[in-house]
Amino acid sequence: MTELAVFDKQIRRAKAILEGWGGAVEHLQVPFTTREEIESFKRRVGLAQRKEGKPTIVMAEDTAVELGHPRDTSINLVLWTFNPELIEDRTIHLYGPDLDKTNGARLPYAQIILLALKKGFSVDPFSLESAQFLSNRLPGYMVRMLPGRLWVRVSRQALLDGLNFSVLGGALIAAYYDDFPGVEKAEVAFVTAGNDMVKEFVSIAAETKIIAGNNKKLTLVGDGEYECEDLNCDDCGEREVCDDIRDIIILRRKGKKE
Amino acid sequence: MKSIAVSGKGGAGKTALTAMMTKVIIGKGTPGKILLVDADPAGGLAPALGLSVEITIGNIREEIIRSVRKGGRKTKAQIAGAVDYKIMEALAELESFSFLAVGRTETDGCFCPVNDLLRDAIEILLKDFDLVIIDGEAGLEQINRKVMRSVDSLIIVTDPSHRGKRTAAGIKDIVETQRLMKSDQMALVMNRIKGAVGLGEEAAREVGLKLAGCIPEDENITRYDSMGKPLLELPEDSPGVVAVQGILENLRIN
Ligand SMILES: Nc1ncnc2c1ncn2[C@@H]1O[C@H](COP(=O)(O)OP(=O)(O)OP(=O)(O)O)[C@@H](O)[C@H]1O
Ligand SMILES: [Mg+2]
Repeated sequence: MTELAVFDKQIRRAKAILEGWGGAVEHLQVPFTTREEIESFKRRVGLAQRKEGKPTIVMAEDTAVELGHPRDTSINLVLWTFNPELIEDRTIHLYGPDLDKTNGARLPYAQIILLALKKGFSVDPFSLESAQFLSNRLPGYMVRMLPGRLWVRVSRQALLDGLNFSVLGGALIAAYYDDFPGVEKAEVAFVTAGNDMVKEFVSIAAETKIIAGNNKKLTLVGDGEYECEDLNCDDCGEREVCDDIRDIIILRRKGKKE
Repeated sequence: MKSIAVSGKGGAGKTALTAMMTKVIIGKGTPGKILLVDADPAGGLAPALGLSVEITIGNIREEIIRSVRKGGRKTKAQIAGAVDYKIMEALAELESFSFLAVGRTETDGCFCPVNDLLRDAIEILLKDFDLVIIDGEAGLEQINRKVMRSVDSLIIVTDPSHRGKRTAAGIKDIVETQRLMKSDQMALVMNRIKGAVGLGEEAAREVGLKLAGCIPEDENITRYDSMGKPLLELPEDSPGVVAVQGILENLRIN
């Protein structure tokens, strides 16, 4: 595999934005320190292993907090580096109200994950990015994503069970440690303070896309193979488009299990 | 999850029946989550429920085809992730029920795999509901391709016209021979009768289906229709609504 592109410059910029907000940014308690504590943390919050979660839907009536609704601003970023000095391991920053202090609100949302990777560690960048969604891995936590956008619903029950940004940040950090042996350090930032604050990360996200675009190497596996029963597609002028869509079905089914 | 699909000739009263069933079920305060699906491309159910639709599955389908046409491998991975987002966005969530419209398809060509892609995502959504009611068309194609391939109850609506009954017989035939749609029970509803109650039994025998019940010609429906008032707001004692209550009891749906 080709060497991963890194985002040192973007990490520095993201941190400069956070620092620029000074005391307004809270540093949340990370819910574990040792390896053993991570295991008991995962059990306590019900964090499923990769590929083992159940598809989750949180309906509006069961929703306690909605982050990054399609009508609000949202952004997601996963930035990595081989320079461990850039990352403060097991650190969670929050700018804006925490989940349990939102009172059923709809909030804009930025979720930023910063990773230090072991030198020479090689991985499909797509999987590094998709791990941030914790798809189906946390009870009462529903996530929907578009490129650059992230829409989260947290159920009332999840809130009662103690889900907050400290737990969510902990779950993200734990998930990255678990899923990628090459992740040495992980740091997370959440922004719910306002649309303008979230928007400050937009240009970083745009740059990231360009850099990562040259790098993506996706491998398709044979599960989720598709057979079209309805028609003979051989003479169809749109065959190529359909073939592409079949690939997407495979990718999506694959993604569901991740 | 329980599911009901309504089919029948154009104009037979599928949408009116779907709206009235919804009214009765909601009125009983039946616990659980209800999803209404408008599988008719013309989209008559939304106004009958007093809703206006912003995004349909058809729109999402167009968007997928458009983005795939633009090409690029990266796009594929992104589209794969985006399907659930879009479906969730298309879902209208109201206090007593949720609503999803299949909508029109504008792109020529079949693009069958897009339907598979969407149905994969819709299936996950459906699992979260206790009752799904689908307002379909006569062909059952839209339901089959875009929503689900088997339902618990398939209700075929007809009016007293010959064409209505012929279409009903045709639908029954499609289900039995072509297995386009699996269903545990299939039943006939005779709509718009004026007086002669025997008509329903007779039609059911003719078509070879069990009779779920008859709905009389209801002036309130006509009035609401002409005023553009949602049928969901029909009075509870309106003859149509009362008849639908009986139909649901016959089918043991409520
Ligand atoms: N029992 C009834 N009494 C009076 N009017 C009725 C009754 N049932 C249906 N109608 C009217 O008949 C017309 C067609 O009904 P409806 O739209 O429910 O049929 P449909 O099968 O959904 O039609 P389409 O195939 O166009 O979707 C509407 O104007 C409706 O108001
Ligand atoms: Mg209709």
